[in-house]
Formats: sequence, C-alpha cells, structure tokens
Amino acid sequence: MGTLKQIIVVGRGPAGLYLSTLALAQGVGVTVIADGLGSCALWGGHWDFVSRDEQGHVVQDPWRWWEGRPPVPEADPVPRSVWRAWWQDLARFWRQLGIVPDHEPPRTNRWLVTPVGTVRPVFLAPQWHWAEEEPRPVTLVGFHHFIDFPVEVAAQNYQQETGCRAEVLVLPHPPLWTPAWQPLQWAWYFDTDPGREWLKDALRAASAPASLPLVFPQILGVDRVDAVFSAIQAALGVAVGEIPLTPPSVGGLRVQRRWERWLRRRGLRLWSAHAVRATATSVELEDGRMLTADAVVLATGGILGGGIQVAVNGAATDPLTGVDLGQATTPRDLGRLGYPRPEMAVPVVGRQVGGRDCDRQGMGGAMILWSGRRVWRHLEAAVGEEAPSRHEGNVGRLS
Amino acid sequence: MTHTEEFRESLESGLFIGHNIGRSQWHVKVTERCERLWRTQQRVERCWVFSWGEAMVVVVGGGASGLGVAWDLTLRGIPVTVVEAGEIGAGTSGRFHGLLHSGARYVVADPVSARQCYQENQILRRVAGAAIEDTGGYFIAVGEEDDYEARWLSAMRDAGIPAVPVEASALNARISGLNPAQRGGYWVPDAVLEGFRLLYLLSDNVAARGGKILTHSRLMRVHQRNGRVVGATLHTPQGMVDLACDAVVNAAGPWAGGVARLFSDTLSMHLAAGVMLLFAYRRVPVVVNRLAYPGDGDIFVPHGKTVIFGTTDVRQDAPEPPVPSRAEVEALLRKGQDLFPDIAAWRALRAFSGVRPLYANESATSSRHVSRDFSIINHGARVGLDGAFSLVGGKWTTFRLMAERLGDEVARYLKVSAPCRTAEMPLADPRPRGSAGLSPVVCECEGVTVQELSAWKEVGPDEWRARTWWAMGPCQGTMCLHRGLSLQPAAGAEGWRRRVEAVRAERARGFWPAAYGDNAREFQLQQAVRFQTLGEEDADGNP
Amino acid sequence: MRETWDACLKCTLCVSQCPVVSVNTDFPGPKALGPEWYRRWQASPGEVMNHVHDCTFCQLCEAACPVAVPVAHLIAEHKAHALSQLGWRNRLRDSLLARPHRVGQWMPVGTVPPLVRRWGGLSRRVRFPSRRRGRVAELGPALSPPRGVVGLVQDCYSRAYDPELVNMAAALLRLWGYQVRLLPKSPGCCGAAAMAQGRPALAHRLAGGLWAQLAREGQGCDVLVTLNATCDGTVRDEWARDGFGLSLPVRPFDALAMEAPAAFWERLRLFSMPDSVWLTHTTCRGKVARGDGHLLALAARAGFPSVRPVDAACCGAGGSYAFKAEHEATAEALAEAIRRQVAEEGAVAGIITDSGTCALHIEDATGVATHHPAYWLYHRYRESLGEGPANERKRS
Repeated sequence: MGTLKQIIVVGRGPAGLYLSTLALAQGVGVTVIADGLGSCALWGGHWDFVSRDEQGHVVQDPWRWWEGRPPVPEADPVPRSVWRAWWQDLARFWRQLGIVPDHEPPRTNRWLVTPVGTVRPVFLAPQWHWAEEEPRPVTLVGFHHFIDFPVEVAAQNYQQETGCRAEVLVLPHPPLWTPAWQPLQWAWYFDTDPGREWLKDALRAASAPASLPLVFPQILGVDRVDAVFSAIQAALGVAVGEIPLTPPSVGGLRVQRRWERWLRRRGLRLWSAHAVRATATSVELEDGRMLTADAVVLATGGILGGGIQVAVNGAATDPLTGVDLGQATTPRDLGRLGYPRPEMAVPVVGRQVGGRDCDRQGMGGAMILWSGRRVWRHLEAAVGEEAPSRHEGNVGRLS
Repeated sequence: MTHTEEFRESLESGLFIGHNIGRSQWHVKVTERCERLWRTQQRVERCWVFSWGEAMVVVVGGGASGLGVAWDLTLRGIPVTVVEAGEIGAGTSGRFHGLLHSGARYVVADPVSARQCYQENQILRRVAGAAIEDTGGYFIAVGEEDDYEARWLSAMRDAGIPAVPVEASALNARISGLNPAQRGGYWVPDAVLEGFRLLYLLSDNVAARGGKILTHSRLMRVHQRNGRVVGATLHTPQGMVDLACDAVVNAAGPWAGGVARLFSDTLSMHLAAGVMLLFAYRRVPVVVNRLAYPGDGDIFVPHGKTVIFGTTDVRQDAPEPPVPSRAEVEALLRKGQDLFPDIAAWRALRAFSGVRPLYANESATSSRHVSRDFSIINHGARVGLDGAFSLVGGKWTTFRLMAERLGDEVARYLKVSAPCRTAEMPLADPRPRGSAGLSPVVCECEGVTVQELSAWKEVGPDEWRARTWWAMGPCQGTMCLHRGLSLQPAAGAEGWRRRVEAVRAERARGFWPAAYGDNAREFQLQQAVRFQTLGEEDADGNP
Repeated sequence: MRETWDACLKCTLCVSQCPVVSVNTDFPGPKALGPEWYRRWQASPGEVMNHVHDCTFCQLCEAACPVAVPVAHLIAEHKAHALSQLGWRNRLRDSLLARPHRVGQWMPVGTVPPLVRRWGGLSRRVRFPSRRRGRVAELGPALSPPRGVVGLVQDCYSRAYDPELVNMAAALLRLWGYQVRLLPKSPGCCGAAAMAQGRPALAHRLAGGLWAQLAREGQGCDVLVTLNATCDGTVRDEWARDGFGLSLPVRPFDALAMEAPAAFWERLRLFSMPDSVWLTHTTCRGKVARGDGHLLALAARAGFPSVRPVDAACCGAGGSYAFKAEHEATAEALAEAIRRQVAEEGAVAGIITDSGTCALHIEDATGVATHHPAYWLYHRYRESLGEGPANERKRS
C-alpha cells in the first residue's frame, strides 16, 4: 500500500466508519477522532440510494435515476456496474456483521413504513426493517402508552396511502413500565430474558389476526434483536418487521454497535477528543496535542455533525480547515452546503460534500459510498500507487 | 325593532346563537337549543345572533386590548362577542417581549405613559398574578457615559417609580455573562408577563360568563340605522353570520385602520415592526434593560425557560408581522453584545416580530418618539356613526386601563351605569391545569404530558401550543410533533398531512432566521427527521 | 473550553450510551436528569427528580453528545440539590466515599462486617478491596539511556489497596530509563469520587488541594504519569475545566508504555505466550477522556495472543458505585454482559483494565484474573526473563 500506513479519520458517523473499514480492510491503520457518538444512531440503519428527485417525486428505480447523473455537478456520473459493485460489497460486509439485507443489491427501492404509517422509499435495509417491494396488508402492533408509534393514526394513514389493510393490535405495557420510558428503554427491556418472555405472552394473549405480518415499532431489542425476532416468529408463526423511529434510532444503534465491534477487533483506535484544526497530515486537538498520519480525512457530518458551522448571516465554514463553504440565503440552501467534491486538500466524505440535499432526496447512503470510494482511491493514488483503473473492475473489497 | 322582536322574527328564518346573561329560565333554555344548533351545524349560509341584554357589543380583535375590553364590558353586565381573525393573541399581543413595564423605560421620553405603566403594573400583579412572574428588573449602565442617567433618575422620582441603586459587583454576581465593563445600575419593579397565559385567562373568563369568542372570524360589515350601529356581519368558519348589536369596538391593533374603514373612517396608524430573538435557556434570571435612551436590542426578559431579547423598530405599512431576516437578527445580536459580550454563542431558539400599532400623526420619524399613550376614538363624533369606537395605541402593560376607559365610554353610550371592576376582580383560571400524574411525556423540552395535551385536544394546533407550550422548546417539534398531533381526533390521511404541514410551516418561519450555530444543527436534525424518518412530503415550496 | 450547556439538540444519543438506562428500568436517563432538568431548574429552582443518584457519573453521555453539553456535570449539579433524597446514613456514607483518599487511609483493609454494611447502606454481596502488599522485584538495569523524571501519580485506590501495582509500574518505568518519583507524598484526591457523589463543590476543593500538591512536588519532573483512567481523565479534562492547569504534561501509563525502548518489546517477544484469549476493558472514564483501542494496541504490541476488546461500555463498578446497597442490582446487571462475553470467548486467560475498582468488580463477576496493564507487563517481562510464570502469585 505504498507509504500509506496510517490514516486519521475525523468523525464517527457512517461515512467515517465506511472509510475506516475500507482502510482497515486493506491493512491501513486507522485512528478515528470523534467528540461525539456520530450520527449512526440518529437514523434507522438503512442506506438510501436515491428516494426522491429534485422536485420531490418518489423515485422507484434508483439505478435508472442515477444513469448519466453525476453525484455532484463537478463529478462524472458513476456507471451502473460500479454502483452495483459498491452496493454488493457493502451488502457482503453487512452479512459479516450479522445484518442481512434481503436482496443485494435491491433491484428497486422498497417501501419502508414510517412511524406515522406513511411509506417512503428505501434501498438497502437491515433484516429488521419492514421494507417491502409492494405494500401489503399488515397488523401494526402498538403498546399502551407507547407514544412514539401512534398506531391508530399509522393504520389509518397506511390504509389510505397504500390501499392495503392495516389491522391494529395494541398490547399492554410491561409491568416494569414507567412514564419516563422512551423507545430505548423498551428496547433494552426486550433484550432481557424476562422482557422477551413478557412480549411472547402478551402476543399470545392478544390473539393477533392470523397470517398477517406483525409490524412493530423498532424496539425489539438492541444486541439481542435476532433472538427477539426468532422468539416471536416461533411463537406465532408469522413474519415480523419493525418501523424505525425518531432519534435515537434503535436500528442505527444496532448497526453501529456491530460495526464498531468489528472495527475495534481489527485494531481501530478511537480517540475521544475535540479536533480544532486539520491539515492533510495532521490534526490538532483542543488541548493542544497534535496527531499526525499519512493522511487525514474529514467525515465530520456537515452542519448536523458540526463539520460545517453556520453563522448568523448564513455564511458556512469548515471549522477544522477554515475553508469558506458559501452562504445560505434560504432554508433549502442549508441542506446543500458543503465542499464541491471529496478530493480536497484535506479530503472529505459524507455530508461534508455539498451540492445535494441528502435529507430531501434521500441519498445519504449513495453519497457515502461515492465519496468514500473517491477519497480512498485518491489517497491510494496520492501515495504513488498506481490508481486502480477508473470505475472498472477493481472496487476494493471491504473484507 | 327591539331585540326580542328581531329574535322572534328570526326564529322562523333560520339559525341563531344567543347570550343569556341575567335572563329568565325560558331564555336560557332557548339559548341552549340555539347553541346546540349552532354547534352541530357544519356550515350555514346565514345565521342570526341575538342577545337578551339591554345591549350587545361586538369587539373586533382577540388580543390584549380586545379581550381586555370584552372582560371589562362583561363585568359591567354587557354581553360581548369577540371576533378574532386568527387565534387568540395571533397579532401583536402574542408577539411581544413579555415585559410588564414598571414605566422606567419610558420615563424620560413619555412620563404620562410611564406613570400609567407603573400603576397598571401594580394592579395587574393583584388581579392577574397567575400570569405574572415577579422577577424585578435592572437598568444597567454600560458604554459611554452621558446625561441620561441623571435625567432618568429625576424623571423616576417625579413619576414616583422606585429605583434602587445596585453596585456593579452585585450585578455580576446575580447575572452571569454580563459585560464586565458595566458600571452598575438600578433595580426597578419590572416583571414578566406571560402574554398567552393572560390572554387565555381573559378569554376563558369572558367565555365562562357567557361571552362569545369567535376565532378565525372577521367583521365584514357594520349595519347602521339612523346613524347608529345596529348589527354586524361576520365571516366565521361556519359561514356568514348577521349579528344584532348596539356597538362595535375596534381593538384590532395593527389592523385597526382596516376595521375603521368599515366605519367609513380612516385612522392614521403608525406601524412599526420589532424583531425579537428567543434563546433556548433562561440565561438571565431577571429583566435586564440598558440604562440609556430606548433603542434597539436593549431588553432581556426571562420568559419561563427561555429569554426573549429585543427589539428593533422598523416602520412598515402592512399590519402583518414580517418574518425576521437573518440580517436583522445579526444586527440585534451586535447590539446585545454591549450587555452580554458572548450573546452570539447563546443557543438561539427562534426569531419573531410583532407590529406596534401606534396611533400618531404622520410626522413622527420613529415610533420610539410616538407616545405610548393610547387613544379612544368615538367615530360618532368623527363620521357620525354612533356606537362605533376604536381603541388604538398603548401598550400591553396598560391594556387594562385602556379597556377601562373604553368601557366607560361604551357604557355611557349604552346608558349602562355599572362601573369598571377589572382592577378588583381577580382573573382566576376557570379551567385549571390538572396534575400531570402518571402520563407519558409528549414534549420532552417543555415537559408536556399526554394528559395535559388531551385536556385541550379539541382546539386547533396553534391554541394547543399556546396553552400547553407543546412543541415550543428547543427541538421545535422535531421529536414530538407526531406524538402530539396523534392525540387529536382522527382526520384521515389527508387531514393528518395538512395538520402536520400547518404546524411545521408555522414553526419553520421563526426557526430559520435563528438557525445559526448549534441551532442550525437543530434545524438540520429537524429536516432529517421530517424527510427521512417521518417521510413527510416536501411542502416548503420550491426555492 | 466551550460553554455549551445550553446546546442540547434533543437527539437523545446520550441516553443510547447510558449504561444505567440499559439495565435499570426506573432510571430516567441522562437527558432528562441533565440538560432538561437544568433548563427547568433555571426557571423554577427547587425541583429535583427521583433516581438522580443512580447515575454513575461515567460521563459516557458527555462523550456521546454531539454538541458538548456537560450532561454528567449537570447531573452532578442535580444530585447536589437532591442530597436530601438520601437518608442521613446514606449521606454520611457518600460523604465518606467522596473522600476515597481518607477512606484508604483509615480503612486500608476492605473487610467490612455485615452489620456495618447493612447499617451503612453498603452492598452485602459485592467484594470490597483488600490490600495487596507483595514485594516487587526490580527488573534489572535500564534498557535505555536516561529519559527523564516521571512523577508517578498514585491514585487513592492504588495507594491504599494496591501499592504492589504502584511498585510494578515504577519498576517498569525505571526499566524504560525513567527516574521515578511517587506523587503525591500525602494522600490526595482528584475529586472524581466527590463529583460522582454529587458534591461538585467538594470535588473542586479536593482537586485544588491535589493540584497544589502536584504542582509543588512535581517540580523537577518532566511528565506526570497516571495509573488510573478516572484520575487521568479528571486531572487532564476536568481540572482544565476548573482552572487547575498543570505546567507538566499528564499522560496515562499505557501511553508511556507504548514508547518503551525497543529492547523491551524484543525481550517480550522472545517469550511467546500459550494460546489463550485476552480481553481489554477500557474503563468508561478512559473511553470518555481518551477513547478506545489504546489498551488493545498495547496488549497486541506486548505479544498477548488473541486480544479482544470487552464489548460492554461500563463494567458497573463506577468507582464506589457498586459498593452501595441500592446499586447492587445495576452493578451486577452491567457486569453480567462481561461475564457473558467471557463465557462466549472461551478460555480467557486474563483481562487488562486501567482501574482498580473495575478490576475488582470484573474479577468478582467473571472469576478471571483482571489487572492493570502495568501488572501484566511486569509479569510478562519477568516471564521473559525466566523468572517464573506470572500466575504463580495467589489472588487475594
């Protein structure tokens, strides 16, 4: 790997973890510097390709949509075969983590149910998600006093939006429940043996409509979710799925815990520190310490992650590099602020790259894949290695 | 034609609502039946409204002055119908800094108004204590010295408003983050007025005594006979309503000019917008004013868990409050640095503006030079329409006094001898908040539970927010909007979408100009939750 | 330092990392007890919440926070206002535990009679520390030319219960070419324990005292080296926040170990260890102050075979948290995750961790020898010298 032995990744969200994985898989040492948990646990754990076009219309076939479209205006479009290889590789990697997407990569976007019963497109989703190619009749399962998933509203919205039947099943709350419980507390409870038993008993007692899939809010355990799923499936013999909720997302948390476990076991070093300045080969920390490496990558998460600061007048700056990133004059501009491309003096990945509103268009996953791959190839090329031929063949395996 | 005759006539013609103040059992029964009809009717083309009182007054405007007048007249036994175009407090009264003036701010430029403020300050503490937090306030000297302090002190003495000197060190100990260069100041009896709380106390008490509060309704026409007001046509969500009445009071604040045109009169209003910035935490424990000629960005008012900082003064023509721009927020913050050098790092929440409805001659250059005193206009004397009155100018703090003077005028006109009682009659909450009990928290920022929200679920989202403070905290509904709205009666998928969009749009207006620093991150978190987790449609309109 | 106590985004990531929330169904979590409570407190002082004393002050919430809200510090403030929730006996107990250097001085042997435990609100199941005296042999002449003077900071726990560890660390440092001075001369405390007991003012006072001691006695040293991760984080992060800056760099023992002379590592490699699994556990406060993976890197470098990180973020010891009767269940439930991992990993030969109380608690829960990296390095080096297997010493 030439002289590339050690890199520093600033940021612990999915873009930072993805780049770290690419590096570790190629035998390059990685130090992640983060002053927070990162954004993995803010989202459900699924990765989007593209969900909506610029006008806000739903995109069903993301493959076709990306055909001939560059990820950012300054870049070239990515050929379908390359996208495919990247997604395939990610899905293979997920399997190692015990996250099993149904089809890899999917042929089209699938329909993910939201906490209010509407449906939105989603691309690569973990096995827990209730994400179907076509909406179908379901039983939505709520719990008494579980306000993050208003099951009656959700059922009504689901029926009217998809035309499919949605039965409602409201289970009581567990005896240990207190009004302070948030989704996480439920999830931790279902991680325990008594919690799982309680859920099985409650479901048996409630007599759910036979044969319809049971769709729960995403609280069926954290580390032991697979055991909870198996227990319900064994007890009732129906399909089970979950709906990702508002942050902190249990699904994202599951993914992060598995992913970081994998990375830690391969020697990832995580520095808990606040970086204040970055150059191509060094990072200065708040307490004055200086870390150096062969390369530094910023995966600092755009505005939400703190990688881009917005002043009162709308001016945007990267606090680590001081680079001026333009000015927001409308609310919409905020979503698109960022660097024009990933291969900057200090390379950037994920939401640090601007030009696309990943929230409105639902394309965060695609941008992570693309920017991560671009930066990785850029780093390899920068140390004198022959760059892999553009787009073709060699996409580098994560594992 | 007497009211009773009109009533009998209209019994045959359609629908009606009525008032039942001090009438017989028969009247009450008929009234109840009418009420039921009124309520059950989804939409009516035409509706007659009656009262059996000697008189009936329509008050236009559901803000402090309108509801103040309604409360004043109600206590005099005069039935009222309040007509409000939006929600209660949708105009200026819900968009102010929350300061219950001691008068100290105006004492140099406008001693009359200052004296009124001080008197009213004392009265309101007595009768509306539930809506007032007695924090006290400081006037703090900072920046270049001038003669203002001396003039201010002598004016304070003349006006009889107490002012106690406070050492700079004592101020630093009490208020963190204060400019170390401040030169000390004075304690004054400023206080914090919870505007919405007081507005709802007024409207609930008016309604509890039989008054009608019609929100989302407008006055369309004033009927006159022989130069006297005899009725009004209202546009209500249920349809057009003709209402027999004996007087119309225009208390529409910035919209007063438009309402006066219905009296065929013109009012020269001096409208000026003031921008305010709301901070997410209670950074200052007391009211903080700058001891200087009143200017921009010199008031900090702790309001519940937040601080309101204001304000500016921008002349404008339209009565609608403009959405503040980021440039205005920036300018305001620069001013605020004189008192609090680190203010730009305080976590912002929202920015909003209110329109001061001052009444003055056109020559005034700035509204800060226009008297904060109020005026009562009898349109009978001006354009020959008896029974039409306007209440313009004034301040939140003096709303009760304004209402009293207008009430006197209306009572005189209606030949009602009952005196004003608002200075003695405490405003008790007719529907007190129950204890939260074992109920899940819907809005974590403001600690609003399912139980508290359920108590008000029949009202619209805006009133719901203003009454419970749901979705008003630092996350601006990011985490709780769907939890809250799902407690309202089912409305179908389309209805759900509309409700969500309405609340989002209302919150976004004030959120955006304050979306800088950490609040910009909050803004982006909300975008992500809306479009990714909740799959909301993009209803913000294209850029 | 950024003053960001009002920055909370309500993302609730802090709750997702709270060890207590994950096992205690009554605990409202850091967001409610910290920033949300504080916001309410400013408007209406006097309101405190139940269960606030169940927080371990691990600070993982703060480490998770994207906007640097001092969540745990706000909870410590909350605890301070809620001391009356504890009975007077628990208050007395906590005021002792807030001064661990005094406890160590007065009660160097951790055998607490059951009656006293019950009366004093102490756990009757958990193991209390007892003093490890063992003499420590020097490791031979220095492997490097003189490298300077190290002020080795003895934490309250090691000074009172594990002087052996201090001597081992000193022996290693001398081997690596350092002169070692043991600091502070008389017992002092960094204040971490007082913060955990909800006494921020006391913590500030204690920190000031130790700071003055270290500043005085550290003159002539080139670097201060900490053994205990909690003290390390407190001295570097917390003190800086409180204005107790030290002119000397403060570094954890394992960071210095990574810079040990090449001859040291070569020597270790000569002696290969039998096939076995080793776990590293970075204490929660170590994760907060420094991050994760440092112990793992050290162990891998020292040639420990099959080193893996403990997956659980917190072992449940929480300083003196696990010693309290009311926290027994939480502490045990947290340790249970480590016990499960040990069972799943198979033959775990030892666990490496950088805190005495964590080691005690983990060893108690798993039955696997759990020690500070200095202990393991010391014994591994002795083995490489052919001076007997590390495990011959009986565990107390």
